Amino acid sequence: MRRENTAAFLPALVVIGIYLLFSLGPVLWMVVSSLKDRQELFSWPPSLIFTPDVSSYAAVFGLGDSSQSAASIGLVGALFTSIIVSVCGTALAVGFGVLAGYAASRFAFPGRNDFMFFVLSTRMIPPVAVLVFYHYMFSRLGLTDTIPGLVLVTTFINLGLATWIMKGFFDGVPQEVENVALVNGYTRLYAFWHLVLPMVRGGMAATAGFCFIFAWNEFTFSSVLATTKATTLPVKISSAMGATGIEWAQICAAGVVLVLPVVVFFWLIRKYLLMGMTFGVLGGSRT
Amino acid sequence: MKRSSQERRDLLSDRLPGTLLACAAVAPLALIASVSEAEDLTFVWHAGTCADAFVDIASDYPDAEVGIVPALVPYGPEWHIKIASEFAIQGDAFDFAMWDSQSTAEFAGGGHAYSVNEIFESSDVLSADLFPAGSLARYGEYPDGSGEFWGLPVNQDAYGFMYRRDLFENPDEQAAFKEKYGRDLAVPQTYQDARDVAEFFNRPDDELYGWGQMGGREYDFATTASNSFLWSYGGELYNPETYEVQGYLNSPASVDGVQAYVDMFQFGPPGSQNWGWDEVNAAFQQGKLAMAMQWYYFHGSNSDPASNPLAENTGFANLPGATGRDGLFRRQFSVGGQGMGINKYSGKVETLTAFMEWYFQPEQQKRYAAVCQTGLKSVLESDEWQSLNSYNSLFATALDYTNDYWHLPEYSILLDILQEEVSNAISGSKSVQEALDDAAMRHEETLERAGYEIVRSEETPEVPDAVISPVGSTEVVALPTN
Repeated sequence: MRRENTAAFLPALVVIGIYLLFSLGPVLWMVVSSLKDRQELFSWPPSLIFTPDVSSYAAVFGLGDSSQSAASIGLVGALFTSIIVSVCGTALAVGFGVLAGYAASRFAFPGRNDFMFFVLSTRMIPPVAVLVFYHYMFSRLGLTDTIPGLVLVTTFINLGLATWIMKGFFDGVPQEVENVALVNGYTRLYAFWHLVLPMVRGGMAATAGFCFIFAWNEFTFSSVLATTKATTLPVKISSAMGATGIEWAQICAAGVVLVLPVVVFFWLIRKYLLMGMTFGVLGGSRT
Repeated sequence: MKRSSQERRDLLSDRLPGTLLACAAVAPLALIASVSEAEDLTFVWHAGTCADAFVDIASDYPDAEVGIVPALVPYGPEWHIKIASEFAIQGDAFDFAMWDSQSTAEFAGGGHAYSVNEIFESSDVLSADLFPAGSLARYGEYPDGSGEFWGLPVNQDAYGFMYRRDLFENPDEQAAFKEKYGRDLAVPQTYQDARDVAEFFNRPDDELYGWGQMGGREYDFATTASNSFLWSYGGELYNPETYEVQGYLNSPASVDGVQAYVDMFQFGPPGSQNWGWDEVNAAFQQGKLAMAMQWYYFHGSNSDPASNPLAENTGFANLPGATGRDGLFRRQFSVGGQGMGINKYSGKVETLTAFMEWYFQPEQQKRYAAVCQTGLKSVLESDEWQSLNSYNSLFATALDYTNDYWHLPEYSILLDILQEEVSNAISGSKSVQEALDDAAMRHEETLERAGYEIVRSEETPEVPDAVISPVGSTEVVALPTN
């Protein structure tokens, strides 16, 4: 029995291995490159055995000889800005998305389908198409180069996605769950908070994961709306350029720093992600 | 359970003092923050050595009340977008910015830049005489020849040339070259010579290639290099008097130049058609290139053994010229560098003027010139600066041979079109003639949409340089090398 299971599982292992190589390969390359000096970095064929050089990490945090480099100053600040903007923006987007998704799922208000299409359409617009208008609006409101401003932008960017995804999860929760509560004299808010919401925790985690990735990697708006006080890490990384040209090792080191919080975040919500991905598989979904 | 009115009043009275105390604690911080913001001068520039040098020097500004805050962006389109978008909303996120010389027309023409002429009039220190006339014109004048300045030459640059001195000085190589080509091996003074030398040193099996140049689609990479060929062969981008592009950009001379540029990729490493300046640096520092076109900006790092293991064997020169189809020799290459322009919406012109009066003193400019190329005449012309390294004296000469893109507000659109079409020629999807024909047509459409009146000539010259600021000579004018 065990030999048969192993044999049956082998092709899957091979496929998984190839996929892991494909998806993790660039990340491993980035980690390895962050530990090389410039000459080693451009050598061909590339070397996997070399003497690690951590000076690029020192430059990322503005330490040692790199502390006076204008390109390396403030990366730590940019990291904290990114964390604040991404976490707050994700929380707001998911919070409002949950409420909007629930309403779209449960209440057949006039124009609901049009509303949902409008919500989805916000994801179709390339950011650069609305960039100048955002810039103008935020400038007049005094929100440019501010963390609250970037939080708002991040929220706006992700709200449509969060609403759309959460509506799908709420559609998978039987209406009967709330009807039982309503019949027994509980308010809809009570039913929503105590009965429905726990059932879609996985969906919320999945939604938060997607929103966090988009918020964390956001570059276009951040590069224009922020100048010095609210620079995010992706923007800061892109300007790592020194005397020799583009500081690839520094960029790779900063990339490692950039990836780590996302890895930690997804590690923390992994249980809920699995719940979210399998939610509704056994039940039906409603429109 | 709802709270009673009394409970709500009690709650408020309990929490109110704490809330007021917290606000009182925060308010001074907000006030301090607002006061310190007013004294900061923020500037936008692309990140790099020169920005580092500027920040380092600015940190010694005697007025402790004024902080110089850098807002550094990547070199490339993001840099232009950052400045242009702020100007589009008439914002004051930055007080001054270093922008490419070609962007002066766009920003000044759009009414976003503060007039430097007014600075000259109001300042007892700053004047046009402090800077070479050509530099001031190149980095700050719009329209051309108007005497209206919108930027100061804060960082001059020119497209240059570097080569492997050890290869050129090797007796065996010299003998082999002489035997094959019938002349001495020397740093080429014409692109025709450069082709032979590149062919001679092109040894892919030995991981050595004859020539490295930019060809990337991004920003101005390809056209910086292709224009250097185009102008040297007698071509022009357009006629600034009549705004004709057809017959000039796609003239026989222009096609000759761009064709010569495209042909040089056969002597470059695989994939060099997509290169920017960073790839050129990397390949040269790895010993893969016998010769390369590269900005003077990077000569500092390429002559530093810490960055370039071949620094001791790296020689510098100015780019070759070319003998055109009319038999005349011309040498012109792309100007680089940035001017310092003032944001008209800043409101801190007085504070900024005081800083500029300090910054453009010889003492500060000498510090800057140790790392990058200053625009201050007294430093540029000093023996001390010219003998500082092996390429500064070459740079002083280079400024006489530079040419530039269109000084028109539509520069960024025209650039993108030319970049696209030259890239088509590089990739082979179009011939050079087809690419330049299409570019010329699209450029004229752009100019017409922008309201320019194109005055058609009865005939256009085969070699446009002959009629537009001619620079041709009957003999090859050799320039020194180091």
